[in-house]
Amino acid sequence: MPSSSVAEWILARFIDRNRASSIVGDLVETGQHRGDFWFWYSLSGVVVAATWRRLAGYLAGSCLALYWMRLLDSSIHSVNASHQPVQNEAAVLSVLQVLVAFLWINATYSSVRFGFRDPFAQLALAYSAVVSACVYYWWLPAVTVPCLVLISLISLLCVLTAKRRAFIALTAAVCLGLAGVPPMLYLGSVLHRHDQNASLLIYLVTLVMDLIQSLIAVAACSLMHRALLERDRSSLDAEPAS
Amino acid sequence: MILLGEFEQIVLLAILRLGHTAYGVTIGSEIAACTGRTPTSGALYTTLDRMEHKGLIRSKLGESTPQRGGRAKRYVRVTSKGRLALINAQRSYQSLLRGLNLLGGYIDA
Repeated sequence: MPSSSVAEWILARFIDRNRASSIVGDLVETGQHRGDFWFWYSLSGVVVAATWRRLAGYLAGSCLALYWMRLLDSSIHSVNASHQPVQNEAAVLSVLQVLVAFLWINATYSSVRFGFRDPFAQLALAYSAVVSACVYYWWLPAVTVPCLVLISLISLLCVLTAKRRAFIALTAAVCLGLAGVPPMLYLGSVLHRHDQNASLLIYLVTLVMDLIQSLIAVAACSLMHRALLERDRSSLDAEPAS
Repeated sequence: MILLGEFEQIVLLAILRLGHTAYGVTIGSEIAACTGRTPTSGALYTTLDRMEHKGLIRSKLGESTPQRGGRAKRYVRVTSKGRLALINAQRSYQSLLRGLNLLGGYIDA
């Protein structure tokens, strides 16, 4: 089957090369009796099965992050008129607002892709919930102080227990994701300078930029999860034939 | 204790039946021959991948043959953890079946 190398190349975009090669080999072996249509149909089935969780996680994470951005925006700037932040507070809260969005992207994506039992997902969900509550009620010490204590406790527990690696992976994933923010902010400011009427085009371009930002965040999440939490699995892949 | 889904149990049983010759193609054929249902490639490979991630099976690359376009087979075998999970799952089925005579209808224990 001459197109099998194309199939292998496609599949290797989504799973590791060794695994893709052996799966395409299986499909080639069976496809000799069943034909080209079956081969490509089966390959598309494998691709869908390997990617749907990532796609669902990415879309759900992006939606949730955008939702939290809007929600915190209203909490920080609009709703509590008697608690308007002063200039320094506003800057810190804006940074925390972005942090919450990134935490929710990581939490949702890892929960959908790796499941709720995954230590990375559990940790990301815990941080997302606590930090969100802390930023949402930023003007209420009765909420922020316990939240800060909880954040410190979670961090300390992670460093002292087996969840250390998940903690490092999450921190690195969030930092990597945040690295994409300054270029996007710059692009956003350039766009708004050119179109001050905030037309539909600007709205759409901003949405696309948000989605690109989410894509960077989930890519960082995948990378860190693979690098720090899937080491044992990689060693199995490399096991030679006996 | 690891809980197994129905399809995971079927795949594990097929791997045990095949022994050293268990890889994607033979596992699919064995399941089709024993159950009358041909598993889709997507479901089979995702399940194998997930079970390897859980430590229920291990895989190693085997020989490559011309009929596979020179690609290596990925042989799988059940680990002791996988065997234990399967035994637990089958025990649950046996407990549920106790007191039932499915072929002759319901009878008291």
